[in-house]
Amino acid sequence: MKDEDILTLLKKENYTKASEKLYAYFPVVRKQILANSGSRQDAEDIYQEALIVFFRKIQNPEFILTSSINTYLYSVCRYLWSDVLKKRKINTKVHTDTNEIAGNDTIWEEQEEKIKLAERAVNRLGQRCKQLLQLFYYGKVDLKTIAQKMGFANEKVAKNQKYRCLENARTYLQTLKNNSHE
Amino acid sequence: MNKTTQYILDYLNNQMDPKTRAEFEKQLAHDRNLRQQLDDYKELMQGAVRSGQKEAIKKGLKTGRTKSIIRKIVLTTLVTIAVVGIIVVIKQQIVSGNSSTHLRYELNERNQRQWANADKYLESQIFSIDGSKDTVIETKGGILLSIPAKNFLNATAEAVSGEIELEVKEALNPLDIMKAGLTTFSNGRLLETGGMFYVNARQNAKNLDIDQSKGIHASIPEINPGKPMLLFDGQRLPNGEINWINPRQLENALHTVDIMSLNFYPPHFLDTLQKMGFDIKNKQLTDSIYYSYVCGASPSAPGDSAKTVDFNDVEYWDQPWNNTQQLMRGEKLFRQNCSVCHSAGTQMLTGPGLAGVTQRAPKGDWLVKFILNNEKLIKSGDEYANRIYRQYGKAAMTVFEGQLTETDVNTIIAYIDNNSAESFPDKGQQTCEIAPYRIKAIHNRQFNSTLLATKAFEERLQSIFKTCNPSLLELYTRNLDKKMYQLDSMAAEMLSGINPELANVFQKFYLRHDGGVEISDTRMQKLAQYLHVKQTLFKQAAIQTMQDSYAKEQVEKERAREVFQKHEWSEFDRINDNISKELELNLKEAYRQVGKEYKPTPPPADRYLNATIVSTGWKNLDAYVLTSTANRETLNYKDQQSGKQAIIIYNPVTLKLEHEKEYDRVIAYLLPGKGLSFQLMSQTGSEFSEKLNELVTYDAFVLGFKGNKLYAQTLTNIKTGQHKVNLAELSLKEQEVLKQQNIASTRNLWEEIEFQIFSQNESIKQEKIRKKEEIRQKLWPVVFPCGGNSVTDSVAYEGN
Repeated sequence: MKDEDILTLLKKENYTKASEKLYAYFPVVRKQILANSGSRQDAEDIYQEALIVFFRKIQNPEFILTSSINTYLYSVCRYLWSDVLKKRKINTKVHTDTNEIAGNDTIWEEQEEKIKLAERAVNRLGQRCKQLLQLFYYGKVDLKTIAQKMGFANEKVAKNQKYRCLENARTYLQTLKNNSHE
Repeated sequence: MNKTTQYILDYLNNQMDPKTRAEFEKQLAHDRNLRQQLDDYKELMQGAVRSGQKEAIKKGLKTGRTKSIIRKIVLTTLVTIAVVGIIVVIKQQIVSGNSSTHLRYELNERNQRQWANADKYLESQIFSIDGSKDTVIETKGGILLSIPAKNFLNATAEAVSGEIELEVKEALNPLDIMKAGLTTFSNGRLLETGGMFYVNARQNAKNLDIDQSKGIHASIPEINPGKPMLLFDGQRLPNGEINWINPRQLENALHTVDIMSLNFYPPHFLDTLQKMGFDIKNKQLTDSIYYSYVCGASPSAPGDSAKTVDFNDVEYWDQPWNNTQQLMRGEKLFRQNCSVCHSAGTQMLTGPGLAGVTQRAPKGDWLVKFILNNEKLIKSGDEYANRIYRQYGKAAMTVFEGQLTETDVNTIIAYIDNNSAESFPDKGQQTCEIAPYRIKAIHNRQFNSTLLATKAFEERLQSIFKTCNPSLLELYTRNLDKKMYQLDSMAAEMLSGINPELANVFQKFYLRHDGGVEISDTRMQKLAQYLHVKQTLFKQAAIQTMQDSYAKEQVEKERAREVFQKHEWSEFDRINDNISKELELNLKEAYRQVGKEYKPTPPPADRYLNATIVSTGWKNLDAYVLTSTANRETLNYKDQQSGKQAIIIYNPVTLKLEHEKEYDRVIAYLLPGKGLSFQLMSQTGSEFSEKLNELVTYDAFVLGFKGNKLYAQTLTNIKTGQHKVNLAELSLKEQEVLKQQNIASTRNLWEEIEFQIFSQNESIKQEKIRKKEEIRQKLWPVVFPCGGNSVTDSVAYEGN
């Protein structure tokens, strides 16, 4: 597998296909996390998060990948996992000196933290709300198709539902923000 | 719908005409609040994108994994459960005829004319509900539908109130499904069904939508237990069949209950108690028994001297938590006043770490004086005070006089002392398997409405106990925001390699796919803090109570020993005195009978005049009387010189106690007249015997003990022969009378009775301690399944 192939897929925003290929690097990460007080579930969560960080960073034209994708992902995973361990209050042996590769773009990270919080708010919605918002904003599917796909009577109902879901997500977001400020 | 939201969304979606847009932007420049809202929505849209990206990644990784598995893919069995607008395929020939009676409307839930066969052949169940209220309905097949208020929206997305018609169709019973000849397909793939149902809501015959942010919570009876189920939506096909699409994971919802209604004891704890005859419904009692266990040591009860042995009495068991209040106050005072400059451990801050300070500082009230006003003590030239003043760079310590009272200071010192026990492990404690204080810290209402207040956790706790590993408990108690199955998987992971059998148990828990309980970050942090503080406090309190109880027992033992010793000496004197008095009485009588005058032996003089004695006199008579008196035998003496006889008669008397078995212990006293002191009768079984001196009149007093109750009977002027004794309870009033009489007389019987009561209570206490130890020994392996020693945990989850 060549890094260029992956980068081409990412340029086309074909995240599913890219992730399918990038599964190849997962076993190594999993092994590392299992050896460091983590579970399989942790490993999956971390790898997903690492991929999303990578995919989103690569969208930024100023971002330059200084290493191979494999090395990059591996270092991001280590960085993310040490963070989790810190939160779980486990003395960690994972070294975090790999920040250079993982990047310490603070402005990007600050913004990304906000978006992560918003993502949590969206995920907290019901399955259908989440699906609707994902289809619309990520899938860029038009409301008419969404109405068909999700079984709404018409486009207008879909639009109304979307508003409602967003409003609800905002209340969640506000609670999350308030909590994180305390 | 909210107008502002509408504007913001239109603006962000670029759906505003230029004029409105310009106006909106103008307003945006002024209105901070509006900008904030706009930012929120911007973030949410990106959040939705991120969420979508993640979904894509998950999907890709899953495919990647599937492809990487070389072995043949086994078709997973899936299960259909359909929500909102769905039905079952039924072959027309089986159910024929009266088909359309089950179709109530022309249009389906999507306002289309298309109906599936199942729509036609399944009976409708119609429920009428009030849209403005929370409603729970149960269908004929047992599906529970929980419908929140304002859950249904009309065509303009307004929540409707008033009467709503809810239509449900269901095919849950395997027989129904089979009869219907169901072959269900999901895009051509065969599914194994777990039941299907259809739900639709109408008002005035018009379809209503479900508010996507709320939704109906459906609980469906499980017909294939243990199989992983998925939820599908139904899509009607032109040929009348239904295609099942859009599968998603079902999660077992966890319902929280009152945490105090759950059993957080180790496995078999309650069973064992019940077998021992305890009242296990008395939670206060069972708690006090459980929490009295301190790892690595078994404390004894202080014992309550005036009580009978009642093990169902809560106060009987140690309550290691009595000290908690004081310790908590100490901790608070310390935090507020001292913690800026001192740690309670060994760490040095501005001032020294205070662990062990009570050992190293000068004894007496030095420490209190220093804390209240160190300046004064330094100025007074106190050597130790000046030394530490210099040692810590002459940094001034706050003068607390006027701010803290002496009691406050002592409370702080008590806290530090306890804390020292933490940092000096040699103070008699060790890390332990899952110690009761850890359970105490979580088993309270603070943890209501969390992951811990669920039947699911109760079940897991039983297995956590079996691991004997506190890290496992910490895993669950410190990750309240996680889903239960995630924690199960971690637990299985932690145990694999250490204990495969238990790892398997947690793996099975994991497969149930139990969900989580929503918790805010703030609450979680607060609970983590709470847990930390309580664990430390309860641990300290347990240790201190144990030490206190040992110390108290020691003091009491010493006191009892003194009382017994004193009694022994005074009895020795009393009996000696009694015998000399009776001897004197007998001598007088014997002398009288032989016609001589009795002269009492003069008391020993300080100085003696030496003279030579030439005649033997009456010495032999004295010796006979002495023997007779001491042995209480009849004297029959004939004087050689005068030929006269001296006879003093002792007659046997026996008291026969009725219902002897009812009493723990019975003592019988003879109460002689003529200024003599009481005399203990000797006991054989239920008979008390002694010999009566004919010269003296006797009463008898019999005293019985049963637990802490007294029973007595007085027999006046008893004569030789056998007498029956029937004891009756001695009321406090009667005891008081007895006491008064005693003061009037010189027989000291009351003192004796008091001693016997003390002795009785002492033996009750000893019995209690013995019995309790026995119970503790029996319960020990239940409380600590691994023997009460720490388990070498290769995975240390606790930071310290």
